[in-house]
Amino acid sequence: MKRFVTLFVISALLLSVLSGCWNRRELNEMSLAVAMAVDKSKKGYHVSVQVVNPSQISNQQNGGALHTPVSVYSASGKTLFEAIRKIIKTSSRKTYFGHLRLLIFSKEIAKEGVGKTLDMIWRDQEFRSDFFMVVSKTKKAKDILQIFTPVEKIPANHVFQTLEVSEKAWAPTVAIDIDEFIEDLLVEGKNPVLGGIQVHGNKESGKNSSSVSKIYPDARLVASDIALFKKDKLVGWLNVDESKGYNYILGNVKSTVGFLECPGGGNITMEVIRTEAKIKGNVVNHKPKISISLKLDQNIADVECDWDISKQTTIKQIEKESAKKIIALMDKAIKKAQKEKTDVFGFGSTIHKSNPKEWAALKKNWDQEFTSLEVDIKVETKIRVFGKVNQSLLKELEE
Amino acid sequence: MLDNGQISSRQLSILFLIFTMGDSVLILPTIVAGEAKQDAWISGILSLFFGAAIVFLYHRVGRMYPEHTLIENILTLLGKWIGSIVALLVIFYGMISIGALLREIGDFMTSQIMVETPITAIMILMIVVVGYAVRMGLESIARSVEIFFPWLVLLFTFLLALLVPQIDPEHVKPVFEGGIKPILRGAIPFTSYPFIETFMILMYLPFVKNKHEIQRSLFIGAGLGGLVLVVFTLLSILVLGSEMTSNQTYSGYKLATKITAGDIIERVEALLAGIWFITIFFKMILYFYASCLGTTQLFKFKDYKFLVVPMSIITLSLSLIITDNSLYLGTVFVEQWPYYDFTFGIVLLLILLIIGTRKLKKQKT
Amino acid sequence: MSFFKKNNTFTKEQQNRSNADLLSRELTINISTIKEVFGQTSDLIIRNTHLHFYEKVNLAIIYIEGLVDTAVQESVLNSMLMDHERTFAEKGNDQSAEQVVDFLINRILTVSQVVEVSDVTEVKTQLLSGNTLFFLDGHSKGFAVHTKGWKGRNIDEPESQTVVRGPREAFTENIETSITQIRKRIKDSSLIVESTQVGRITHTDVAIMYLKGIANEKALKEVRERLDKIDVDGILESGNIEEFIQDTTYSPFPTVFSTERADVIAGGLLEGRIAIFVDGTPFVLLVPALFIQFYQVSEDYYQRADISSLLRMLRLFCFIIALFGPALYIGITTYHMEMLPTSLLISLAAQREGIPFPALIEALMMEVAFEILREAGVRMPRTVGQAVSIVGALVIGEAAIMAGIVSPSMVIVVSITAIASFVIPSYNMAISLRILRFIFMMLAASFGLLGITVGIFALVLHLSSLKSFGVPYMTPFGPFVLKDQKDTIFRLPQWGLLNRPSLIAQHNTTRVDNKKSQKH
Repeated sequence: MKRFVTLFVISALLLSVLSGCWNRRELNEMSLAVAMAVDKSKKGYHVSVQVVNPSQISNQQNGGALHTPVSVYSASGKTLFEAIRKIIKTSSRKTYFGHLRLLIFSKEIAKEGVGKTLDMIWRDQEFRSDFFMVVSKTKKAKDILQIFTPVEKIPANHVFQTLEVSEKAWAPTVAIDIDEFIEDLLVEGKNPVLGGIQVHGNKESGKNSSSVSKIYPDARLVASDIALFKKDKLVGWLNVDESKGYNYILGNVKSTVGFLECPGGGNITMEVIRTEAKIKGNVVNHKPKISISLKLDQNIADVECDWDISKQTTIKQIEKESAKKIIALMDKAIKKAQKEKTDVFGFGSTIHKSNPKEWAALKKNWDQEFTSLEVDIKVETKIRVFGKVNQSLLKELEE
Repeated sequence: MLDNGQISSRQLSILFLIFTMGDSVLILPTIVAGEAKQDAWISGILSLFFGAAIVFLYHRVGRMYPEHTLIENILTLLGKWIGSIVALLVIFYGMISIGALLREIGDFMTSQIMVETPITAIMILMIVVVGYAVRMGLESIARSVEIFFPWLVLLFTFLLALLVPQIDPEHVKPVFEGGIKPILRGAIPFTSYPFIETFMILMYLPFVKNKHEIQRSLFIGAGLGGLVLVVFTLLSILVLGSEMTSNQTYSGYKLATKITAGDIIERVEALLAGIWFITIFFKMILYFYASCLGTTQLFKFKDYKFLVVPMSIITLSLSLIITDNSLYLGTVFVEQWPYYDFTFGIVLLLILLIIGTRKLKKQKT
Repeated sequence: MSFFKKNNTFTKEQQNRSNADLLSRELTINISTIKEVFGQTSDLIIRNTHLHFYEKVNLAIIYIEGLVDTAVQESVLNSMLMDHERTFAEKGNDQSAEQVVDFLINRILTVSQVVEVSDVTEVKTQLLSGNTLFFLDGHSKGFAVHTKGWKGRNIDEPESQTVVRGPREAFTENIETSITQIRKRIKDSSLIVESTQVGRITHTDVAIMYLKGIANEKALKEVRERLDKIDVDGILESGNIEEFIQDTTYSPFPTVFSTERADVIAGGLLEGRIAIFVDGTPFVLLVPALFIQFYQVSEDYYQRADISSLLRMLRLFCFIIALFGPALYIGITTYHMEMLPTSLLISLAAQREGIPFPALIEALMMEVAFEILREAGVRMPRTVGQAVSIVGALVIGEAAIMAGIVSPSMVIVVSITAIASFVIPSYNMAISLRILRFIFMMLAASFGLLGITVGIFALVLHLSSLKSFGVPYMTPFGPFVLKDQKDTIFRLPQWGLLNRPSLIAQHNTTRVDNKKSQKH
């Protein structure tokens, strides 16, 4: 009997607990944020959040395309957290950030420093760390959230995947998540970078769903360039070539495309299939020195000139030329970073690891040291595959 | 004896292994990396040797009177009055440890997973299960630990295998940057949390079936447990880097968020918090059982089971008043707690060993 | 006497009574006593006659109609009432009662068993067991002749625990038939049957069967003691016995294994377990029972070892689904949304749009509806059962979704859970999961995965605190016995199964004498 009483008490307690359900969130009581844009406003921050309209995304219920696949809510506030909470004023549901894919900073915010905003995101348990951060090259970051994207219905997913793929297969972009960014911030002798994003085409008509009903949408979201940060502040941009150089130096390139001019006019295109970069640091007479060696395998993808590539000498020449070109790219990137006085390559931390004692002296003045840092670049290229044919069509036609 | 239960030497090994890992899996890398930076793993390896010495001490103390628990040892060796006071202090140590562990688990849950849930609700839930376990008796506890053990191994291997691709060997460089001092400072918490805190295992040695295998079991348990902790610390540094490891409150949890395998196994940290749950649960259970048993032996009660409910309530309130916020507890854990451990786990045991050996020698002659 | 030896306590009881109720030398007094005991029941047949070979003596034949095998009885009567005068006359005409009795038993009665009865209680038992009693005038003892026999069911295929490959013989309600089925399988003198009767009014025959020298003596003693302790008016099924002898009452888990398959019992006996047969039910109990035993079927030993191992793992996997399925769904979708891939989460969210209930209520509704359907399906006549399932499928599967009361994903979860719970071979284990599933759903709804984890902790602690007749329930996981893992989740090929489970058969654990039977 006693047991039954205790059982009863326990189940009664359990039920009372149930009615609490402090943390319970039903799926249809919250809205799923996939992207967040932070702009500057007079008071402080203007935060825009892209949330999913699940019923429009799911395959199963295609009940009329009355609604857009996503909606954007926004609010301003003195601090980021306040602004985010204020969104509830306009949204019927509480926003859930666990599945955030994309965080966009406007240029202004980035220039002032993203550290303040990041603290909230880094601290809050709901935010995870697997979303990418980008800096908007378009003036207002909010605009990015409003562009319709083809194929992938959720624009945030579109950008997420674009960044992920293009870092691997195109090279002049980076996909940085918050973990990497913060690690770069915390590590001595390294400064972070972020990818850039911008709208190509007509921004205004891209905000209308009719944009994606065209085969070529009015506005496209394009990932391009790399934003250089000094600590948490944006200081400059790397252009396409420099961005490529940046990725070569850090060995981020999985695959990309490069071309050479043929001696007799026309181009020859190479597909890079494998790279291996090694950065070594050394200190000689208290002077830091960095040497980068890059090994690179490439395929010949496209011969649009009458260069005779069946000869070994030509191959050697191509290898040499392309190495020269890549060195130039890397050099450009380093020059640019030196100009902005920000060591985004982590040369400082390389020195730290190789010569911890010398680093103690160098680190106080590292920004200055970096501008005059001597960097030695070695590139070794190998051509592996020639495609299905040996000789170029043009060459064949000539004969 | 109050509980006629007996445990096998294998069960003792597993119990001690889990006791060693305890809460350390989640928080130790953070604390040690805060001191020794990227050399935290060296602190770990160093601590393994300290640990071995400490476990040897446990064994020696336990061997003096194989049929006596720690509390009985204290009572016989230190005399009635001093012994009673020291025994009370030891019991209090056990209870405050449960309180701290309870608070730790509550803080973790409310800061990482369930923010809006009141911490009391979570702690009540935990203490109810811990109390239930203690009521079930030593044999049940030992059997259930055996059931959980394969899962623990499975989860750990799973974590290890999935984190290997995320390793960046550059993170451990430069080795020995700050010299030996920070490494030694890191070794203090690394020795005290897994090895010294577990001196309560002396309450369990009399229940082991094969007394001559105790030494082996203890060394296996502590060795494996310590090794796991070293691997975890090394992994945290290799994957997260020392900066991030010391920046995160729960680096072990952060480590689990790093797992990605082919876009399918992702975001599994809530499941992997399971490792920690198993170990911390059993650490609480072991403290709780030891405290109950100790109290019973001190006051010569006939049964320990009636103590479970009042003890649960006391530890629950202890965990609520022990600290205002999690930050304070964190500081205490780093700055004061190791010395508190040291007082009981080393100083007290050494005193017992010295007095005990003399007494035994006298008896012989 | 009957097939059964008397149990200690019962004989004692009878001895106490017998002083008062001894039979008289007078036949008429005896008959009136018996009439008094049985009241005016019409199926008690008393026939007054006298022996043909010695007409001086009056004779009463008493039996209960329907309980006796008429063919046997007829032959007995024949031999008694036939003319034997000549054979007997040789010894003279003036015989003492004892001589008559001796002649009657040794020369005339041609059946196997004849037992002397001397008090009323014994008379009662013998009559009620279906034996025919003879009383001679002037002799204070009666004779019970074994004429037991009534109509029972034929040996049939088992209704539960069916197999694709394996014997198709189930026990019947008749205890002797059941015991014979085991005897047929284990032809060894070490197979011991101990019989007793349980139930003040029903006097149900209960038999303990074990292999001497293999069965765990401690467990055997426990079984005997616990059976002795039972004091109740009636035992109608082995389930009644089970409740009396199980170790823990307050546990959803069965600690006594029951089956109607003869081969399972024979296998259990060979492992050193003890079987308890109860008259009137085909379900035989087997103790000690371990947790894992409820996930094994006899077919595991008849199929290839690798396949059986996989199937056992599948069953354990189903156990996990059946227990945690809805709880995990509730926990993850309401507390740990970050664990789901984004696209899955969006699709789940889309399904939940417009559902008026929280996930827990939704799941509870579905589960309860399913339990109702299942119960209806079991109790209904088979033809109606079909209709029930059609209505159920339509109502729950289709209409509820169309009406927007439950989400399709919830239907998927609940039905997978239901199917998984059917995979568990033992019915009483499956029932326990049904109860626990609801508890886990509650825990998940109030604390998310934390609740489930805590629940698992409590569950494992509970399981490891259980014992079945002195053997820890979770053997060989906790305590871990490496040797016994060979036939737990995995099953090694037959040549690998040379040892009996060590905690059940505590001595004589080797199944073979030499290495001959190992793989060649």
